[in-house]
Amino acid sequence: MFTILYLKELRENVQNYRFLLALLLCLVLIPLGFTVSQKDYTERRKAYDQTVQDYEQSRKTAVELWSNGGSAFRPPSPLSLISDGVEMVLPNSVETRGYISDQGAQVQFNTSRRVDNPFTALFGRLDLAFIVSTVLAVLVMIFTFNAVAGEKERRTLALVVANPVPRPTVVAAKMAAGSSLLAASFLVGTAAGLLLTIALGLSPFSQAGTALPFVIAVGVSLLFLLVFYNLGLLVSSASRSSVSAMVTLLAVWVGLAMVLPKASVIAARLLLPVRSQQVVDLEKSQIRSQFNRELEATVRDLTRSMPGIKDMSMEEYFKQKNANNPIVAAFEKAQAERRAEFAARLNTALDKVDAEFEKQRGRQAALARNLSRLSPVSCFVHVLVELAGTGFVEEKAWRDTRSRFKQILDREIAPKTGSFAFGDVTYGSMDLDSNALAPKLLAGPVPLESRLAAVWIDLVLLAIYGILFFACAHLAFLRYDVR
Amino acid sequence: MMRTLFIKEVRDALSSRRFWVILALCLILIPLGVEVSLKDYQTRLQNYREAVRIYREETKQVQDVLYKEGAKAFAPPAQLSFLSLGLELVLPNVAETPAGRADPPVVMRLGNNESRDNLYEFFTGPLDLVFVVAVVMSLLAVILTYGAISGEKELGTLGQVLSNSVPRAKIILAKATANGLVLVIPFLLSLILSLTLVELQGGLPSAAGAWTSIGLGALVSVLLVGVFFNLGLFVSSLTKQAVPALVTLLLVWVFLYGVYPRLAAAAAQILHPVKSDALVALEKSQIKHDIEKARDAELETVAQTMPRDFKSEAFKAGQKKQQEIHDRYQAKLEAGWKAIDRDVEARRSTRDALTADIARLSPVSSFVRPMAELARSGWLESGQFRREVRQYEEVLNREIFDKQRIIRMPRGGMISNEADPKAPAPVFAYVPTPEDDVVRDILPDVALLILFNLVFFAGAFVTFLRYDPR
Amino acid sequence: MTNQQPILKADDLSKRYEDGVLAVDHLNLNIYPGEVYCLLGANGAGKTTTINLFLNFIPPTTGTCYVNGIDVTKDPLEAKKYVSFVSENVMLYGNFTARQNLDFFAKLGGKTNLAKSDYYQVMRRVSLQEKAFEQRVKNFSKGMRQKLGISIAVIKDAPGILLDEPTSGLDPKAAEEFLEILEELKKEGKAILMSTHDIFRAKEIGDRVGIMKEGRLVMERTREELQYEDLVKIYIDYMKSEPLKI
Repeated sequence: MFTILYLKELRENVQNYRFLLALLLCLVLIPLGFTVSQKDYTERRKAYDQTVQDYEQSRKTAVELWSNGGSAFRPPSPLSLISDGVEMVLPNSVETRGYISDQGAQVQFNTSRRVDNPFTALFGRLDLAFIVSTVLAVLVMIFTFNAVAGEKERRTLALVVANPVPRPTVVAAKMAAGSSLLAASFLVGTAAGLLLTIALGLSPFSQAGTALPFVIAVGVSLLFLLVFYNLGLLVSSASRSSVSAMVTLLAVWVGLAMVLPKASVIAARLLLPVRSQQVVDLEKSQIRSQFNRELEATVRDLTRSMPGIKDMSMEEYFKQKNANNPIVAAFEKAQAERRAEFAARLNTALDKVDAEFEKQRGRQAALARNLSRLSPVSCFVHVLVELAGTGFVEEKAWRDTRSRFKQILDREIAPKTGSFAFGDVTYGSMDLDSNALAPKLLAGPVPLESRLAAVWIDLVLLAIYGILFFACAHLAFLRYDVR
Repeated sequence: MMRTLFIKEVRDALSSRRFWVILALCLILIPLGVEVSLKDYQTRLQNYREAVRIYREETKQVQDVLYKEGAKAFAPPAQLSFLSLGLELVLPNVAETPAGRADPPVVMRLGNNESRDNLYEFFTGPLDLVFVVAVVMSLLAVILTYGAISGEKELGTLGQVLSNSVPRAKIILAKATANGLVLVIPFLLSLILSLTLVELQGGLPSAAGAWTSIGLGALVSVLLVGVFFNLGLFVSSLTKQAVPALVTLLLVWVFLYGVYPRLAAAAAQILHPVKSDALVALEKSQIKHDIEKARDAELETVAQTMPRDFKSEAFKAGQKKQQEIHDRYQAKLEAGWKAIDRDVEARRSTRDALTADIARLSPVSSFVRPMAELARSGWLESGQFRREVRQYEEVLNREIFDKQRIIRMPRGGMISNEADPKAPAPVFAYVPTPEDDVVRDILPDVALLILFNLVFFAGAFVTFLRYDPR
Repeated sequence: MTNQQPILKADDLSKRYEDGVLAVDHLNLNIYPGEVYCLLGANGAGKTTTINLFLNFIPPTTGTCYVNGIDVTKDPLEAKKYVSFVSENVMLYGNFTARQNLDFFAKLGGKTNLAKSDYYQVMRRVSLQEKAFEQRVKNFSKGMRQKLGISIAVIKDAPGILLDEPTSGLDPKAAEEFLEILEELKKEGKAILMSTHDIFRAKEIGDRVGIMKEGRLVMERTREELQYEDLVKIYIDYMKSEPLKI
């Protein structure tokens, strides 16, 4: 019985325009989207490679790094064809600001954009996430809106149900047939897209560790299509006419795909407001200035109180220093101690500010995400964006990179620099071995397990939504008036 | 006759749920969108003011610029971003000089400080007026009109009407005007309601120019809704049944809203590629590297001849010569960099113009881009910021950084700066794009939207004259 | 009858569709005031096409339709002033009440100064229940809708009335009531063209009956002539005979 119905549904969908439409859209849009994304990625990768090469040439030794400034670069995401995510607004690199002193390195994000075409920022890219959550979702609506309501209007539904056919079988056959055709079109389009990119030398698998996330992304997309198909069937089984089914589906899609995610951001911001990063950075620089003023005062006191030093003139002091007078050495040592103590206190204060801010931001972000999980579309794009490596896990990793880079510099370079003051003159010393290699930080991609770990909730929710919609569609159809 | 037809259309729309649903959606979504966007703007404004305040406290004098945090320039957030958030999170709105030692000519580095705070919002997109109009209102227009003609034919009422002495032109005109009002009146009412709410909450900072932009924004929005409205009428008169009309219109909407604009951006980049910022920066640093190498060689030569006695005439003469060498190479560097900048700018603006032209074929692009410009969150305003930063840069270089004096000696050297360290630091004051420039920029898109409206309506009109009512 | 001009006249009317089908084949009809002409025929015989030609919904291939002496293709708007139309399946505007529908179509038909009582009167005349007057049409039964349809024709008060299978799907009582109204309208001097395949009713109401087969009017009889013949037999005989060459 199921087979008979299934085959009839298949034939019906293939013979009308819908299947052809699905196939055409997938065969055109997916390869197009893949190719454009890959071309763009190739350019960005080239720029990245050249930048890193140029950097490494001029920062071979630690001394060069100290004088020219240090940076760590973020490679562009090789799987942005899956989803462009927040790639466009992630910083390209972290870099030192000013000279590394014994107070530690100041490491900041380089916020100059990688976006070269503002139109892309305004409209977005034709990535897999968009094609599936928008174009294919509309296609699903076109497949399902009159699956039940339309058959009722044509009076064929009454004919079917007048036979000894269990109703669950009818709806199961509809679901199986329609979604298998959609899945087939999608897979054909994806395969065509991959072939095209490989043929043009733009294969997305040229980097290691890209094949598995891609396959998973395809699987999750299929899951999403199934979930949405069930939603369509549900709405069709709850509507009296195919037109009202379509209008309802449209409203639901706009609500789930667009309004709910935006509203959840707004709600999170209203409920848990947070200062801006810029204000926090400026607050930190204020703290730094204040500490420096205190430090200067302390050193001045030291200068005035230390026996032997306090009566020296500038010329006398430098003469004594060049003569390696132990009094000067002791003075410098005392200064160094004070400075180290201040540095420790300063870094603690700054870390506290950072930690507090990160905690607040994290809470706000988590709230927004959780609220938006009410929409299966949000769950879907959450997963895809992490698989693509252009999402929030990547962003967090990048913020951690900043701290790690600072730690490396504070460990390898800062202690070897010394800064001393006598009166109004500040002079420095550098103890870096001229042959010491520059510390490097190669920011690699976040491992797949961590990325998936961040979105397992979304995956589970997506499956739950699918089951829920299917169950409700079943129920609705059991009570559907076929007359 | 027109009155009868018109009244019937209005009554039909009112008695079905359509009008009330449209009214409800407009009254909820538009004020909501405006309100949250406004709150968001106010938060960003507060952050901006706070940042400027702290910066000005810390950087009062020239010595602060030289030895502390460097100079910064901030652009205020776009006050009309409730119309369109546009590129606020992407295009540069802050510029800073390097901290610590800065060799002239100093180039301020542009960046955007908004996105880190609004990462999830960037991901989901804003709930501004552009979203409400391009998605919700357009779909409503399509839902309102897909069955205007084919639906009546299916019902049989079209045949009934045409069995009377009624010219077809009047029928379609009555349909268009009545249903158009059903769509536009709730929209405008909601807009007025939203703006009243804005005024009640403290209004918009600088009055005059803002209201022209808001008015133009409303006009452009109505035009876009009109495009989909007339398109709906057109497709309805091309089909025999209402449902295929709806499906077709939906596909057309997805294509115009989502697919085509994304393709346009990609196409322009392929047709007229522009080097990325990173590569340009590399080129420039390469040039700087080469020039400095040559300069340092010359400086070293002179340094060899200079005695250690700082006070001697020979030393002072050598210093003067070194300064000449410095100035000469600096001029060369500036010229080289300027040439690159000019070239890249030219290519970039050609490519952007090309993108805009290709994208215009979709009425949605002809709507989204002008709205961003009107809201001051688009290219024009960003370009203005860039220009003003460059001007500020010139002031900084002239008054501070160019006054750097380097003395190169056989082992090491000395750097000092002749500028008065206690002099007040030059301040950056932002001047927004003049109103006229914005209006002139969006005129082609407005004209195009009007054209789309006319073409689709004419299509509907002509097709309906020969429409088979059986 | 013979000295008057026909209100509805088809003069050598033919219609061939784009796919080659000859729907109407040299039709000649003259329908005079005060008579009911029933056009009988199987499905696809050309009855509905004939009516569509009179309404200028489609242009004729050859020949002309005249309404009140006006060529419908040359001056359709003028011609339509003199004819009313009741379709096979009267749907009307579902969200409007009966009176609102009637009001709209009355105004379209040129009657702009009628009061609510006038509408009520007409609806009563066609035996529509009182409580239905202010009810939404989408809940009406088929019989009620057909009555509303004829009331639209009544209120327009045009000299010619075209009806396309008006009694199909009606129960005997509703069909009887419908025909009574037609009888009254006939007595008022209207020229009525009614297509149907209900041969019993055709015999009852028709002053003249024509049988269409494959686009051709193959037989025409007056009521008097019919009294002495069995219309059923004639009808079936003609239906059984060889198909005509196109």
